[in-house]
Amino acid sequence: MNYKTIIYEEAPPIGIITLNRPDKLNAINDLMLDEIEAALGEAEQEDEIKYVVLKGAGRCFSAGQDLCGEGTTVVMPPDPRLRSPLTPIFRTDATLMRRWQRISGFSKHIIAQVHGYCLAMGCDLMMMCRTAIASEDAIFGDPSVRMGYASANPLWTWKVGPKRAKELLLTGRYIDGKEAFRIGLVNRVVSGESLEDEVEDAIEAIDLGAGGIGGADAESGFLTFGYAAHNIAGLGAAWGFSAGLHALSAVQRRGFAPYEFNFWEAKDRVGMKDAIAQRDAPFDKLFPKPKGGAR
Amino acid sequence: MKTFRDVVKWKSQYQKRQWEATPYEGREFSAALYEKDGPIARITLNRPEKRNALNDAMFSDLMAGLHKANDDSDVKVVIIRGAGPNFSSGHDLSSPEGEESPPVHPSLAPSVRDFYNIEKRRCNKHEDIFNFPKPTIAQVHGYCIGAGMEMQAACDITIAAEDAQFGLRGFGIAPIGVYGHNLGPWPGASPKLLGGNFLPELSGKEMEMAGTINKTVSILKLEEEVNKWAQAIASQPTDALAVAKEFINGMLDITGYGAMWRTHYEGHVMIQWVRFRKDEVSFYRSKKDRGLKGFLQERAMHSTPKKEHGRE
Amino acid sequence: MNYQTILYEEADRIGTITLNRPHKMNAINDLMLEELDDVLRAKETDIDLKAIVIRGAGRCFSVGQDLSGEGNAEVMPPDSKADISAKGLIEAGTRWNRRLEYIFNYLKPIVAEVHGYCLGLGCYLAMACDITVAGEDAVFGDPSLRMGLITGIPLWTWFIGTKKTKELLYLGRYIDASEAEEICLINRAVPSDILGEEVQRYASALAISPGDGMVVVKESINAQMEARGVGAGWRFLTQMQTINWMQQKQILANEFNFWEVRDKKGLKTAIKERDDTIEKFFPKP
Repeated sequence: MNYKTIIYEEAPPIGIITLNRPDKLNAINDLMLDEIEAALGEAEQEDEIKYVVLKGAGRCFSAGQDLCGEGTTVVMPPDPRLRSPLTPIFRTDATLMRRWQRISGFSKHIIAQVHGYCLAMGCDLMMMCRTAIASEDAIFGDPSVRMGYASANPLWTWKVGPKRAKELLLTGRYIDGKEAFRIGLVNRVVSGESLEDEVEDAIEAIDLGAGGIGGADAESGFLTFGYAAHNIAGLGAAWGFSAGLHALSAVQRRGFAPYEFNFWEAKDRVGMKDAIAQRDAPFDKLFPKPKGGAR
Repeated sequence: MKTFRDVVKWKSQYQKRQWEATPYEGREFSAALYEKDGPIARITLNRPEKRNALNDAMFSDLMAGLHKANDDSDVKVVIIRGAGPNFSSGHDLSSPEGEESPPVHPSLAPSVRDFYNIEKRRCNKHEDIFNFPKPTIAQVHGYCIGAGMEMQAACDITIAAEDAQFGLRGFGIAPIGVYGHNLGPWPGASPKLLGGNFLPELSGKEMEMAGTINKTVSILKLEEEVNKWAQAIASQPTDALAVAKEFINGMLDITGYGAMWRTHYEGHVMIQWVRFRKDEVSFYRSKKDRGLKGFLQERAMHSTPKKEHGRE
Repeated sequence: MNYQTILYEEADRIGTITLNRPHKMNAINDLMLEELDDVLRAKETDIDLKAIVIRGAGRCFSVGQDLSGEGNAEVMPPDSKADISAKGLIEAGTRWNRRLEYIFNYLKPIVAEVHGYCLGLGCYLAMACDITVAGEDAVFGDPSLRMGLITGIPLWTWFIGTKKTKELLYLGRYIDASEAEEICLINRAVPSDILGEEVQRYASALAISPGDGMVVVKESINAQMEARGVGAGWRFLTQMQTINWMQQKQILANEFNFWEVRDKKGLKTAIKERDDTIEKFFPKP
């Protein structure tokens, strides 16, 4: 298949999905989500493929959802000032949740190879992968709250526990690869140059440890049962909660108090780039952004 | 041709917890030993020549030991440990067919119901240990593999030697079940569980770092450390301990522990139908063609990264 | 507002509550719970107040519930010698849980600034807050079991996992701030001299975030916790507490009985004897 926003290659037993909008720091738009799912569908059909690597082209993994507003009705809820009707918003969020569920419950092992920025929806996408390996210059975080939104990802408390989930999501703080490893957001952190090799080694090790001996069948069975157990343990309900609350953050009437920085107004006034800079500046003063990001 | 029912005589006895169903009066403990030291009971897995591999005799003694410890009102805490250089190397794969430990050969063509019976019995004894009414401590050194790993995970507290070798090398069993649940976040699939290692083998130190066990010490201090913890727990009010354990385990049930135990044995049932590809080591085929040693060799060969033995 | 056991100040859209019984190491009695509840309820509807900081006056955050036996009908379990109905016990447990649950689900972010002792109910309070930052001299722990009681908050297993929960609750061991950070009981351990500064950093970040957005974020994370069973956890705790309080009478003759020692030799001696039983194995940090 021919994709516009990603590249899908096969090198059995590995399928490789590369997010490919390097000029936009791999910002995720509706089409990209569609194409990721389509590529996963291809990988699922192919018996030879046991693992999928997900990575970003260019300077980073992904800077998050495309905030520019074109082709982003799924990844971005409507501007809070629009007072949009509820139904389409709920539908959008429910669709997004089902999509995340399909990726996180995928029957083959997905490994995220993360360098540079891995923010907001990029970070969500990374968390849907069963394994994540990051380079030291990677930066993680979800600054949604600074724009008046909630994260739509229920995996946070599972991955890093309630305390750290609240800390990261309430302040939108950015953390580097090392801290991400320490708190359990990624499996391993390695130097930037060796990232690609380390991912290959990891896949070999996974293949030897679980797949090679036990059979890829057993591995995907394990994924399925493990996922079922998590759903029973509350993840299933959490998707629903997340969809509802994410929609809620899009329909809230007040959004911003007069003394609060209003991202959407700033965006209209000074453009996307400056609005993001203005959004982050006061926070960066409190919590300096880690070094790294876009190489 | 033999069928499943010719070989396997026992049925699922899950009405009672397994330790409850195993009598201890007049028993000669041998495959596992039982001793009492004031408020502390010690159960020692005792087949050092087999690296304390678990077979029916050992399970039976272990369960009887737990039964005895529960009935003895002096006992406040139970330590489970291994004799010789290891804790336990897991299920004894050399046990004769029909015993609980080796996987059932597919050619016996058991039905799904047969499988449910065996796997429920095989897996749920760990749940029985988990819900044992008195606090339990696993004292781990040397190998702690497979079912040994499950057993330590089911104990309330695990203290290990720094160089203890934890691991799961199965024929299709990825780290599923209780160990993942010992972590706070993301049960079963925590990135931290593997501590950056993707082979499911970890040293005591790595297990401690991942938060799956409580503490590691040098092997020379292990006994002393475990006794310290046991005495500390034994100094607590008995009844409050019972309520505390019931409370914590109940809390875990709310978070889906029951589902986790269940997926563990569902997973076991399912792997009976695993299809082995050409490049994968099939336990059944390998054991039949080359014997148990041959299987272990083949598996070891396949578990060594290519770089190390030049297999390309 | 005039409070006896707490102080409340407000600056830059941040409200600061100081537990203020320094001569009692901020032991929490009924009045303090009441006043804490009162100030939080009064401020919940003030939409321009963005975040709350809770801290302790004097030498520590809080040593936990006031065990002296006066003015603490609510924070302490009913007297085991008194004749109490199961209904009364369930009501007491429910009331207890509602207090902490209210803080856990409070509609503004709460930051706990912890220094020195943070034990028992003090520790539950810090756990119920959203973000906990501690100085490195902080000491966390729950010595309830040594008094024959179970813990008073259900969040342990969700925060720190099975093995660590059992370790801390069975032993009643005290841990220092860096260990608490490692096991995810708190967010950060920082050098004591910059504790105030660090907490201000978090509070300022919360003060400039959109308030409505933060409510939804907190709500969505707590919804995840609810989906993971925390809601059932509160109720289950009430039931277990009821059982626990009924079986209070059954501390065995040869076991250390905190309540008897307290009545005979006084509170100080009782606490010392209680802590000695575990300190010979695990010295206090």
